[in-house]
This record gives sequence, structure tokens and C-alpha cells, in this order.
Amino acid sequence: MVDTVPAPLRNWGVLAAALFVLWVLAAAPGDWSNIGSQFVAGLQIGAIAALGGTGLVVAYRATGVFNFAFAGIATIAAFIMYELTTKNSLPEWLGLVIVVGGVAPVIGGLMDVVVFRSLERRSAGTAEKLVANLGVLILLLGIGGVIYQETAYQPNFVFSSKQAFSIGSGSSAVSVSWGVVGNVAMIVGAAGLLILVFRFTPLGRQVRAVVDRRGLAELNVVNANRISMLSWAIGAMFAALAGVLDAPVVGLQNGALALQVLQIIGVAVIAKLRNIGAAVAAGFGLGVVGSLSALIETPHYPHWLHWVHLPSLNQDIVVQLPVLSTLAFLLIYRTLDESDGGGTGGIVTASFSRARRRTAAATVQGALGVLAVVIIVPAVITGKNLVTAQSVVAYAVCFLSIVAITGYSGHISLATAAFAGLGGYVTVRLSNGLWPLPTTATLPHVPQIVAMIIGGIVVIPLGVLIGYPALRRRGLILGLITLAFAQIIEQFVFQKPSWSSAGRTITRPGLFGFSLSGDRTFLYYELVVLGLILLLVRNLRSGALGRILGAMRDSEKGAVSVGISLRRYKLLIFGASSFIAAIGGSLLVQQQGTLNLNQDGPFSPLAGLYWFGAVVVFGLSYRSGAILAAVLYVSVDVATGRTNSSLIVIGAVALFIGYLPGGVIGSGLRVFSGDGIDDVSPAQRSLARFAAERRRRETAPPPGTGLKPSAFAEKLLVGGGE
Amino acid sequence: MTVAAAPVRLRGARLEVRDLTKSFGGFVAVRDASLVAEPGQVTSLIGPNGAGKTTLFHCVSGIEPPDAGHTILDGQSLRGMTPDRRARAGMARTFQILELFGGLTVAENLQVAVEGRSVSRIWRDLFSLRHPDNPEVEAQVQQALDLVGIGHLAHRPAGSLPTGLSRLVELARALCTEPRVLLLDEPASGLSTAETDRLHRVLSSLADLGLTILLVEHDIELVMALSKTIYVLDFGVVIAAGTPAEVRANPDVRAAYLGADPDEVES
Repeated sequence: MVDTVPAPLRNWGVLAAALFVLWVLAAAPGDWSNIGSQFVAGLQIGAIAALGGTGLVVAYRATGVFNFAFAGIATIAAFIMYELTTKNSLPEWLGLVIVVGGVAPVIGGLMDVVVFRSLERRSAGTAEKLVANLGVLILLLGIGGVIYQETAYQPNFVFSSKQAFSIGSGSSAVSVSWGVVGNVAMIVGAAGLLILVFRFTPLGRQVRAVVDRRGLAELNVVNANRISMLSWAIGAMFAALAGVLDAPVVGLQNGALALQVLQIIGVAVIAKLRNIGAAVAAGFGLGVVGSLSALIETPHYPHWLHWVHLPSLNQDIVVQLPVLSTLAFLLIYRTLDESDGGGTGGIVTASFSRARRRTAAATVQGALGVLAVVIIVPAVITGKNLVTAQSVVAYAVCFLSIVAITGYSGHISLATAAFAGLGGYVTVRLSNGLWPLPTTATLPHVPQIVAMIIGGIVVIPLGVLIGYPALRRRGLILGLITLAFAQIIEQFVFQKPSWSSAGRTITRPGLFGFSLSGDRTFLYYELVVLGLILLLVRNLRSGALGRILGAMRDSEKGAVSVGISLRRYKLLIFGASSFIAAIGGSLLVQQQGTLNLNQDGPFSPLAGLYWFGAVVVFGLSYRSGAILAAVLYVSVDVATGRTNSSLIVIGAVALFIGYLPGGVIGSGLRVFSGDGIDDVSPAQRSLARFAAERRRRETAPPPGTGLKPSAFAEKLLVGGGE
Repeated sequence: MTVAAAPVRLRGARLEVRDLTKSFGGFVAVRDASLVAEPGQVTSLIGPNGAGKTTLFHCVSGIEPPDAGHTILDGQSLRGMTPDRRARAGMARTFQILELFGGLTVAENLQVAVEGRSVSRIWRDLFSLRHPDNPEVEAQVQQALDLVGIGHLAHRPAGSLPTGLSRLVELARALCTEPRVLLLDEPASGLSTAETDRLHRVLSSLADLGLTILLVEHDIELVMALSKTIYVLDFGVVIAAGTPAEVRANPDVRAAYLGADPDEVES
């Protein structure tokens, strides 16, 4: 692919990172006398990461699909285990057998039969499989959320924490618990078995054959269905094991556990998504290094740096090691995803402005209709519905950011909620007279609307930063990079008291002395913002800019071959999309009155996944898709009175995205008007348009002068050649 | 043809490839390849499948960085230049594996090529309410389409066209960048006889007008009829160069490519 990051720069980056680690170790020596027990504790955590990572690798290797759903399977498995053992006092071993040996393979098998088998048959693109898989995650977490809400439970440990044996003697003796032994035995046994099977049995060869060329393997009498079902089942068993073992350690809470488990993605990434042995090593490596880094003392920062509250290194390394290493390795590895290069076929459809140009009368009618809706509806609805509508509008703005980045330019971004959260964060801090930084230094209070615009602008450079990796990467890898970015923002900003403990509330804005705080006025204010954002998004799809972004989405090689600078337009679209998300997040915060940065809140990395799923379901390429997605996302929860119930709907539809090319709207347009889909040729409309243009050209004097040599060449051909 | 009476000439550029080497892992796809394509001529590059022709094109157009060697355009080395800058410097190309913008109409594919190089309109488009089409651009697009004989397809979605027509769209798109050098990767494959004839006429007139054309093509008849100079690539090495007659007579070439089994020439 196009090489835009010069190799020296990358090498310097790696060197700088290595030097930083050395500096940390050299400048901040700590008390290393506990190294033995910290090492053992690291093994216990590392084994869980290794299990999850191995499951991801197995599923990816055998099916070519990155199994985001593993976090959902882990969560559901942990809840069932909790019901069986902690609540109903079944022995742990029996619970383990039921959950890991029974429930998990059934979930994995169902995923294969219901979802992925048909996608495989239809040779669906990577994007469709990715979305279907996200659908499984959203569905499972939706079910978990509806049943258990956001309550935190504490399950029993699977293995006893009593000492199994100890190493050494006297005061330096290191005690090793049954928990450590059990976890390590699980991963070593399971991964060892898998490696043996893959390497030495006919089954292993068949798996490799199926991954390589499914159709060809089937011709050679390999039962591909059986192989992929087996792989999903094995992947699910590993995920369940990781969830069941992790839940007692980190606590059992629907979204929070999934977020923890999602960090295990780093293990699979380090293993290049394919190598089981490397996944096991990476899991243990991350566990042990993270555990040991707790011993490091934070260095004394120079006094002039005390203006901001600097991170405590040991804490930050422990917490952020998995996601930081995920991001680092995603950037370092040059080739990871071996699937079809990251197209967005199937989930994105092309319907360009030119093909859908309306007459002036239709435009006026449409505009009047929209005006009627946005003026009358807010005027007639009341009370709770007014609040629901406010929420819908704010989410619609957030979702439009996804339409811009993925629908119009073909880049999968799962970090939208993080950008929205940052926009909200900046707005709240500024309007409270605080810097949007980890400092308690104060500022003059900034009016909310100004703070919102500043929030949007402040986030643009971050969006552009995320755009840089996208110069060379698309599809799954870009999705993982953006997810890692969202996780880093979550842990480094949202969950840090030094960043965000003070000033979490905001009052509704006013404009020129006129208060917008009433529910109805606030809704009108939101609608104005939504209208402006809709215009901006429309401009990303029309005119020369829209054509260029569409061209880039369809073929990057083709685009550069006609002189389009990928860098310029990719950074532009990432900047624009992060701006839109930030404005949406700011609106949401103003609407709610508080900045909710909780892990089950609207700005967590999981929300980014949910939002993406919601927009895909309705149609990534349509502005109306974003608006309908917002309506569904908000109103199902309101209608059922249970949070998370919209996730069940979104997840369930996303499973079948393969049958809905272009989402609900894209498919609907195809059915009802034959419009909006590439393979349906709008022949009559084109013909009419073509004829009209021809007429216009023939009646008008030919534009341009002798500058266009092709005109001459045409004359030459027509005159002399034929 | 009446070239002498031409009121306008296209400014071609002398394209020189010097000692170009590119390997993938241990496999050397192109080794020390050198060639020159002069303005006003069709220069062809032929060789069996897998000889490294497309790799050489990718290196010349900047899509793959070469391990060693230069591409020189009118005496100026393009080393380190990104493919889009090379395109703006006058290097246009088509692809063996099609790289059309499938979601855009044929005309829009070409419009992008005309508009993609200038930045000024973009910021205006981002913040303005109306995006009127530029009639000059539209005319230029229609002319390019008519030139290659597909004017009637202007408003078809590009993704819906068969391969042969798609190749013509790519050619028309390349012409819209106001190129000085045209790199054509198997433009005739998938074309009907009539379309190939038209392509033949178009290419020879473009060369007569002054463009530099570097052609990779398996249709030997077309290559022999069009080219002034032919380079033969085999296992990444230039094994022969010369006029069509000289190349035809070269025993190495006969052995490697033209000779023993004429069936191999196809595909």
C-alpha cells in the first residue's frame, strides 16, 4: 500500500519509547524486595490474559473474523457462573464444567450457525463480518445489561486462594496459591493442546485449508462448516474461561467487566493475531510486567511541572500497559490483517448527490416538511417526551460523526464516543472556569456555547492525530487502533480524578441574555445546532470535496494516481468527524446537566462500539440513518423503562447486516425506489440527465479555449481516423 | 493523420528509469531495470506473466518504494515523491487490476481527476451552501469520455461496468489529469476488437500529439503496431530492447516469450 510514514521516523519512535522505559526504570527505582510475590501475582493475571488472547487468536485464525464478541461471551459466562456457584452454591468445578464446557460452546456454535455461516456462503466482506460480530457483542451485553443493570457483584474465586506451596524459605519465601496454580495450569494445558492439534493432526491441516480457501477446501472433502463451528466454539470456551476467572478479580459488572476483557485484545495483537504460542507468552508478559511495575516509585518531577497534576508512573503503567501496548504494536506491525484490505463493502453504499439531485420544487417541499416537523413537534410534545427528544437530537449529532468518517470516507472508527466525551469534558471544565487539564488552576468562566465551540476545536488535533495511522491502515486494524485510543482516553482522562473530579455539572446556556434553559427552548437550540452540523456533513458529500472523499473510499490507489493527496483528505475527514462528535458530546452534557464519565456512561469505549453498531444498522451512508439510529438508541430504553434494552434490538439487527446491504435505509431505498445502490443502474434518470446536459452543452458556446487538447484530439480522431 | 497541422501540442516528458530494483522478502521482482520513454512515442514493456512489469509500474508511479534506483522525469529525479505528487508532476497511469471509484458515476470519476489537484475549491465546498458544477470541468470530462468512445456512459455508476469499458474509463480518467506521461497497464485486456481498434487509434494520436506513453500489454499485435521502442522484461531483468523488428528477431526474446509456445502469449 501507499508508503507515507518514512521508515526512519518509525524507528526513531521505537527507540524513543525504549529510552523512555529505560529512563523510567533507571530514574525511579523502587523497593524490589517483593519482586517474587509480585511476579507470582503477575502470573495469575497473565494467565487470564493469555486465555482470552488465545481464544481471539484461535477464532481469527480459523474464521478470519476478529472476535470482538469475546468480551460479551466472557461477561455472560461470568454471570452464569455467578448464578450457579456464588448464588446457588454449586461447587466451582461443576460450574466451570457447565459454563465453559456447555454454555460457551453452544454460544460459539450458535454464532456460527445463525450468523457467520451465511456470511461466509455469500462471501461477505470483512466489514460485514466485523459488524455482525459487533452485533453479537452488543446483543450479549444488552442482555446482560437488561437483566443485571449496572449493579456490581462479587463472585467467588474459582480456585482457592490458600497456599499451594511456597518457594524459598524464611522472610524471602514466596507463597504460591491454588489460584495461581489453577490459572496457569488452565492456560498451559489448553494452549498446549491446541498447538498440538493445529500442528500435528489432520484437523489442524483442515483448519488451515479452510481459512486459506474455503471453497477449495470443501472440494477436497473438508467439512468447512464443521471446522468453523468448532473454531467458534473453541474461541468461545477460551473467552468464557477468561471471563469466569477474571470476574472475581476485577468484580462482576456488566459493562465494566467487558471493558476489562476488551483490554486482552492487546495480547492477540502482540501475537500478530495468529500465533497461539506468542499469545500465551504475551499474556504472561503483560501480566508480569504490569505487576512488577507496581514496585516502581514515581520519580520526583521538577517543581515547575507541578502546575499540572502529573501521572503516578507505577499506577499508570499497571492500568494502561495492555492498551498502550495494543496501540504500540498496532502501529509497529506493518502487516497484520490478511483479509481483504479493509474495504467497507456491504455496510457502506454509494449514492452520490448527482444521482439524487432533486428539482427546485421538490427541494422547497422537502424543506417545508422538515421545518414543519422541527417547529411543530417540539411545540406539541411535553414533559418526558421533550427530554427524550432532547436526548435524541444530541445523539444524532454524535452519530453524524460516524456517517462522515465511515459512511463517506470508509474509515472504521470506534472512538466516536471518546471524542464526544472529550467535547463534553472541555465544555464542562471551561464553563466551570477550569482548565481542561489535570490542574486546579482557574480561568474566567466561559459561556456554554463558546465552551462547546472551543471543545469542538480542541478535539480536532486529536482527531487528526488518529488520522495519521489511517494513512496506511483501514478496516479492522484501524478499528482496533481507534478502540485502543478510546480506551486510553477513558483511562488516562475520564477515569482520572486529577483530570475530572472537580466541576462535573453544567447549567444550560443562554444567548445574548436570553436563557435557553427551558426544556422546549433548549430543544430548539439543539435543533439549530443539529441543522448546522447536517449542513456541514452534507458538504462532506457534495461538490468536489464529496467526490474526492468518495473516490478515496472506493480506491486509494486510484485516488493517488490522479494526484489526490490522501494525507490531506484523510486528516481533514478525521478532523471534521472528531469536531462533530465533540459538538454532539457537548450537547449531550448540556442536556443532561452533568458530565457522566462512568464506565457504563455515554462516553465509555463500549459506547463507541454501540454507537457504531446503531448507525450501521440504519445505514452508515445516510444522514437520516444517524438520526433514526439516535431515535432508536434513546427511545427503546425510554419505552421499555430499562436501560440497555435498545442494545438488544441493535445487536439483533446487526447480526443480520449481511441481508441488509447499506443498512435498513440503504436496503429500503433499494426495495422501494431502486435508488441508492450501486448495482442497480438508475438508467432512466441518467439518460434524462445525460440528454439534458447534452442539450445544454450544444446550445451553450463551448467553454474553455484551446487549452484542452483532448478536444483537438477528438476532432483529429473523428475527422482523420474514421 | 494530420499531425503537422496540429494547433496544440501536448507537452510530453522524457521518462527515464535507472537501475531500478525491487524485491519482496527474498523474491527479486525487478532487478537493475533501466529504460527510457521519449515524448511523442509509444514505448512498450513486454514480458511473460510475473516478469515484474506491474511492479516496475508501481515503483515508477510511486505506489511501491523501490529498493534502489531512480525514476527521472525530464531530468528531475522523483526519489521520495509520493504517488500523488508524481501524478501532479504529470505522471498518469491505469491499473491492471482496476482501481476505479466504483461508487461514483463514470463522469464523476473523471471530475475527481480534474479537480483533485487543486485545493482552493475544497475549503469553499466545506463551508458553502451551494456546490455548483463547473461547466468547464464537465466539458473537459465529456471530451475525454468521447475521445475514448464512451461518452454515452457518463452517468452510469462506474462499479457497474464490465472490465473492458472500465479500462477505457481508467484511460479517460488518466487523460483528465493533463498528463505528460501515460503509464498504461494492460489497457487492451478485456476489450472487444472494435474497442481495441479505437484504443489503438487513440494511443497513436496521443503519442503523435507529443505525449510520452509507456505501455504494458499482452496484445502483441497492438504492441508491435504502436511502439517505437520495446523493452522485454523476464524474471525482473531487461533482456532486450529495440525496435519491434529488432525485438522480434532477438533470440533471447523468442526463447523467453514470443518463441516456443504462442499460446503463452495470450492470457
